[in-house]
Amino acid sequence: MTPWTRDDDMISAEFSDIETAILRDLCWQVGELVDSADHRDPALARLLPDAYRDDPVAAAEFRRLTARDLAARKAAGIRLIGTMLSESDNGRIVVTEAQAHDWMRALTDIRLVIASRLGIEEDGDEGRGDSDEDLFLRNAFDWLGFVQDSIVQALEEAL
Amino acid sequence: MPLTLDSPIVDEQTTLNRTWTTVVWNDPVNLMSYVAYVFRSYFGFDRATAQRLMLQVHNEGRAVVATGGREEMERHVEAMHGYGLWATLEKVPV
Repeated sequence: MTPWTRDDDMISAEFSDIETAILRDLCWQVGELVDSADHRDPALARLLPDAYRDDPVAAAEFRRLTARDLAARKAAGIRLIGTMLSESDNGRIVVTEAQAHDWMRALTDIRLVIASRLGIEEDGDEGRGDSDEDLFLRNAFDWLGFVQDSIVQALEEAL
Repeated sequence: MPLTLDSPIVDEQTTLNRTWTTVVWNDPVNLMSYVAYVFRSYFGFDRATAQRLMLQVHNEGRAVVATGGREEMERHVEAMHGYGLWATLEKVPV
Protein backbone atom coordinates (compact mmCIF):
# COMPACT_ATOMS: atom_id res chain seq x y z
CA MET A 1 0.00 0.00 0.00
CA THR A 2 1.18 3.51 -0.74
CA PRO A 3 0.66 5.98 2.13
CA TRP A 4 -2.24 8.39 1.76
CA THR A 5 -1.29 11.66 0.14
CA ARG A 6 -3.18 14.88 -0.24
CA ASP A 7 -3.66 16.68 -3.53
CA ASP A 8 -5.77 19.82 -3.08
CA ASP A 9 -9.17 18.63 -1.84
CA MET A 10 -8.63 14.95 -2.52
CA ILE A 11 -6.80 12.30 -0.54
CA SER A 12 -5.61 9.14 -2.21
CA ALA A 13 -3.86 5.85 -1.60
CA GLU A 14 -3.25 2.67 -3.50
CA PHE A 15 -3.83 -0.82 -2.12
CA SER A 16 -2.36 -4.03 -3.50
CA ASP A 17 -4.71 -6.81 -4.65
CA ILE A 18 -4.22 -8.83 -1.47
CA GLU A 19 -4.69 -5.77 0.75
CA THR A 20 -7.85 -4.87 -1.13
CA ALA A 21 -9.20 -8.39 -0.69
CA ILE A 22 -8.35 -8.55 3.03
CA LEU A 23 -9.80 -5.17 3.91
CA ARG A 24 -12.91 -5.77 1.79
CA ASP A 25 -13.56 -9.08 3.56
CA LEU A 26 -13.06 -7.45 6.97
CA CYS A 27 -15.56 -4.76 5.96
CA TRP A 28 -18.22 -7.33 5.07
CA GLN A 29 -17.60 -9.33 8.25
CA VAL A 30 -17.68 -6.36 10.59
CA GLY A 31 -20.68 -4.94 8.71
CA GLU A 32 -22.54 -8.20 9.37
CA LEU A 33 -21.55 -8.10 13.04
CA VAL A 34 -22.83 -4.55 13.46
CA ASP A 35 -26.09 -5.49 11.72
CA SER A 36 -26.53 -8.45 14.06
CA ALA A 37 -27.09 -6.02 16.96
CA ASP A 38 -26.03 -8.76 19.36
CA HIS A 39 -25.24 -6.70 22.42
CA ARG A 40 -23.87 -9.72 24.28
CA ASP A 41 -20.98 -9.65 21.83
CA PRO A 42 -18.19 -7.77 23.61
CA ALA A 43 -16.94 -6.35 20.32
CA LEU A 44 -20.32 -4.75 19.66
CA ALA A 45 -20.44 -3.46 23.23
CA ARG A 46 -17.18 -1.67 22.49
CA LEU A 47 -18.55 -0.16 19.28
CA LEU A 48 -21.62 1.09 21.14
CA PRO A 49 -20.44 1.71 24.69
CA ASP A 50 -22.53 2.96 27.60
CA ALA A 51 -22.81 6.74 27.58
CA TYR A 52 -23.27 6.84 31.35
CA ARG A 53 -20.80 4.95 33.48
CA ASP A 54 -22.56 4.86 36.81
CA ASP A 55 -26.18 5.27 35.78
CA PRO A 56 -27.57 2.12 34.11
CA VAL A 57 -31.01 3.68 33.65
CA ALA A 58 -29.67 6.73 31.82
CA ALA A 59 -27.30 4.48 29.85
CA ALA A 60 -30.19 2.26 28.75
CA GLU A 61 -32.27 5.28 27.75
CA PHE A 62 -29.40 6.77 25.74
CA ARG A 63 -28.91 3.41 24.05
CA ARG A 64 -32.62 3.15 23.27
CA LEU A 65 -32.56 6.58 21.63
CA THR A 66 -29.27 6.38 19.72
CA ALA A 67 -27.88 2.86 19.31
CA ARG A 68 -29.95 1.79 16.33
CA ASP A 69 -29.07 4.86 14.24
CA LEU A 70 -25.46 4.85 15.31
CA ALA A 71 -25.10 1.15 14.46
CA ALA A 72 -26.76 1.75 11.07
CA ARG A 73 -24.36 4.62 10.34
CA LYS A 74 -21.42 2.47 11.35
CA ALA A 75 -22.53 -0.47 9.20
CA ALA A 76 -23.17 1.84 6.23
CA GLY A 77 -19.78 3.50 6.64
CA ILE A 78 -17.96 0.19 6.85
CA ARG A 79 -19.78 -1.15 3.77
CA LEU A 80 -19.01 2.07 1.91
CA ILE A 81 -15.32 1.36 2.36
CA GLY A 82 -15.81 -2.21 1.16
CA THR A 83 -17.70 -1.00 -1.90
CA MET A 84 -15.05 1.61 -2.71
CA LEU A 85 -12.43 -1.13 -2.62
CA SER A 86 -14.53 -3.45 -4.78
CA GLU A 87 -15.07 -0.75 -7.37
CA SER A 88 -11.59 0.71 -7.23
CA ASP A 89 -9.34 0.89 -10.26
CA ASN A 90 -6.55 -1.52 -9.31
CA GLY A 91 -6.83 -0.62 -5.63
CA ARG A 92 -6.50 3.11 -6.16
CA ILE A 93 -8.75 5.01 -3.73
CA VAL A 94 -9.41 8.73 -4.13
CA VAL A 95 -11.66 10.37 -1.54
CA THR A 96 -12.87 13.76 -0.35
CA GLU A 97 -12.09 14.92 3.15
CA ALA A 98 -15.57 13.90 4.33
CA GLN A 99 -15.07 10.43 2.83
CA ALA A 100 -11.67 10.27 4.52
CA HIS A 101 -13.53 10.68 7.80
CA ASP A 102 -15.73 7.74 6.79
CA TRP A 103 -12.55 5.76 6.21
CA MET A 104 -11.10 6.75 9.58
CA ARG A 105 -14.29 5.80 11.40
CA ALA A 106 -14.62 2.49 9.57
CA LEU A 107 -10.98 1.55 10.13
CA THR A 108 -11.40 2.40 13.81
CA ASP A 109 -14.50 0.22 14.12
CA ILE A 110 -12.78 -2.69 12.39
CA ARG A 111 -9.73 -2.32 14.66
CA LEU A 112 -11.97 -2.18 17.75
CA VAL A 113 -13.65 -5.43 16.71
CA ILE A 114 -10.32 -7.16 16.00
CA ALA A 115 -8.92 -5.94 19.34
CA SER A 116 -11.94 -7.36 21.14
CA ARG A 117 -11.55 -10.71 19.37
CA LEU A 118 -7.85 -10.83 20.34
CA GLY A 119 -8.48 -9.81 23.93
CA ILE A 120 -6.65 -6.48 23.65
CA GLU A 121 -8.30 -4.59 26.47
CA GLU A 122 -5.64 -2.43 28.08
CA ASP A 123 -2.55 -0.52 26.99
CA GLY A 124 0.29 -2.96 26.46
CA ASP A 125 -1.94 -6.00 25.80
CA GLU A 126 -0.37 -7.98 22.99
CA GLY A 127 -3.50 -10.00 22.39
CA ARG A 128 -3.83 -13.70 21.73
CA GLY A 129 -1.56 -15.22 19.12
CA ASP A 130 -2.27 -18.92 19.50
CA SER A 131 -3.75 -19.71 16.13
CA ASP A 132 -3.16 -18.76 12.53
CA GLU A 133 -6.35 -16.74 12.66
CA ASP A 134 -5.09 -14.84 15.70
CA LEU A 135 -1.85 -14.06 13.90
CA PHE A 136 -3.75 -12.97 10.81
CA LEU A 137 -5.94 -10.67 12.90
CA ARG A 138 -2.93 -9.29 14.75
CA ASN A 139 -1.22 -8.44 11.47
CA ALA A 140 -4.41 -6.90 10.11
CA PHE A 141 -4.80 -4.86 13.32
CA ASP A 142 -1.29 -3.42 13.03
CA TRP A 143 -1.58 -2.82 9.31
CA LEU A 144 -4.94 -1.04 9.65
CA GLY A 145 -3.31 1.13 12.32
CA PHE A 146 -0.72 2.11 9.77
CA VAL A 147 -3.43 2.88 7.19
CA GLN A 148 -5.28 4.91 9.80
CA ASP A 149 -2.23 6.90 10.88
CA SER A 150 -1.41 7.62 7.26
CA ILE A 151 -4.90 9.10 6.64
CA VAL A 152 -4.54 11.29 9.72
CA GLN A 153 -1.18 12.58 8.51
CA ALA A 154 -2.66 13.43 5.11
CA LEU A 155 -5.64 15.20 6.70
CA GLU A 156 -3.44 17.05 9.19
CA GLU A 157 -1.84 18.90 6.29
CA ALA A 158 -5.08 20.74 5.68
CA LEU A 159 -6.23 21.48 9.22
CA MET B 1 -33.38 42.68 51.72
CA PRO B 2 -30.65 44.64 49.94
CA LEU B 3 -30.62 44.77 46.19
CA THR B 4 -27.70 43.05 44.65
CA LEU B 5 -26.43 42.75 41.14
CA ASP B 6 -27.04 39.06 41.27
CA SER B 7 -29.67 37.65 39.01
CA PRO B 8 -30.57 34.42 40.75
CA ILE B 9 -32.82 33.00 38.02
CA VAL B 10 -30.27 33.41 35.25
CA ASP B 11 -27.52 32.15 37.52
CA GLU B 12 -29.49 29.05 38.33
CA GLN B 13 -30.21 28.37 34.67
CA THR B 14 -26.60 28.89 33.74
CA THR B 15 -25.55 26.52 36.46
CA LEU B 16 -28.09 23.92 35.38
CA ASN B 17 -27.02 24.24 31.76
CA ARG B 18 -23.38 23.73 32.48
CA THR B 19 -23.37 20.85 34.92
CA TRP B 20 -22.44 18.10 32.49
CA THR B 21 -19.16 17.09 30.94
CA THR B 22 -18.06 14.88 28.08
CA VAL B 23 -15.28 12.56 29.22
CA VAL B 24 -13.06 10.59 26.84
CA TRP B 25 -11.40 7.47 28.26
CA ASN B 26 -8.16 5.80 27.33
CA ASP B 27 -8.33 2.64 25.25
CA PRO B 28 -5.61 0.39 23.84
CA VAL B 29 -6.80 0.61 20.25
CA ASN B 30 -7.09 4.19 19.10
CA LEU B 31 -3.91 5.84 17.88
CA MET B 32 -2.72 8.98 19.62
CA SER B 33 -2.55 10.82 16.29
CA TYR B 34 -6.14 9.84 15.52
CA VAL B 35 -7.52 10.89 18.91
CA ALA B 36 -5.78 14.28 18.67
CA TYR B 37 -7.11 14.70 15.12
CA VAL B 38 -10.69 13.91 16.17
CA PHE B 39 -10.42 16.45 19.01
CA ARG B 40 -9.19 19.09 16.55
CA SER B 41 -11.60 18.43 13.74
CA TYR B 42 -14.73 17.80 15.82
CA PHE B 43 -14.33 20.24 18.72
CA GLY B 44 -12.26 22.80 16.82
CA PHE B 45 -9.41 22.80 19.33
CA ASP B 46 -6.08 24.19 18.22
CA ARG B 47 -3.26 21.72 17.75
CA ALA B 48 -1.70 22.32 21.19
CA THR B 49 -5.00 21.90 23.07
CA ALA B 50 -5.92 18.77 21.17
CA GLN B 51 -2.48 17.33 21.84
CA ARG B 52 -2.67 18.18 25.55
CA LEU B 53 -6.10 16.57 25.96
CA MET B 54 -5.04 13.50 23.99
CA LEU B 55 -1.99 13.08 26.24
CA GLN B 56 -4.19 13.53 29.31
CA VAL B 57 -6.42 10.70 28.06
CA HIS B 58 -3.36 8.55 27.40
CA ASN B 59 -1.46 9.27 30.62
CA GLU B 60 -4.23 9.82 33.16
CA GLY B 61 -6.81 7.51 31.63
CA ARG B 62 -9.40 10.19 30.96
CA ALA B 63 -9.94 13.81 30.05
CA VAL B 64 -12.87 16.20 30.10
CA VAL B 65 -13.18 17.52 26.56
CA ALA B 66 -16.39 19.54 26.85
CA THR B 67 -18.67 21.08 29.45
CA GLY B 68 -22.23 22.26 29.00
CA GLY B 69 -25.86 21.24 28.92
CA ARG B 70 -26.89 17.61 29.04
CA GLU B 71 -28.33 17.41 25.53
CA GLU B 72 -25.25 19.02 24.03
CA MET B 73 -23.00 16.60 25.92
CA GLU B 74 -25.11 13.66 24.73
CA ARG B 75 -24.60 14.84 21.15
CA HIS B 76 -20.85 15.01 21.75
CA VAL B 77 -20.76 11.54 23.31
CA GLU B 78 -22.72 10.09 20.39
CA ALA B 79 -20.33 11.77 17.95
CA MET B 80 -17.31 10.39 19.84
CA HIS B 81 -18.87 6.90 19.70
CA GLY B 82 -19.26 7.50 15.97
CA TYR B 83 -15.50 8.01 15.81
CA GLY B 84 -14.94 4.90 17.91
CA LEU B 85 -13.72 6.82 20.94
CA TRP B 86 -14.83 5.66 24.36
CA ALA B 87 -16.77 8.62 25.76
CA THR B 88 -19.24 9.11 28.59
CA LEU B 89 -21.26 11.95 30.13
CA GLU B 90 -20.75 12.96 33.71
CA LYS B 91 -22.54 15.34 35.96
CA VAL B 92 -20.17 17.88 37.44
CA PRO B 93 -20.07 17.44 41.22
CA VAL B 94 -21.65 20.49 42.84
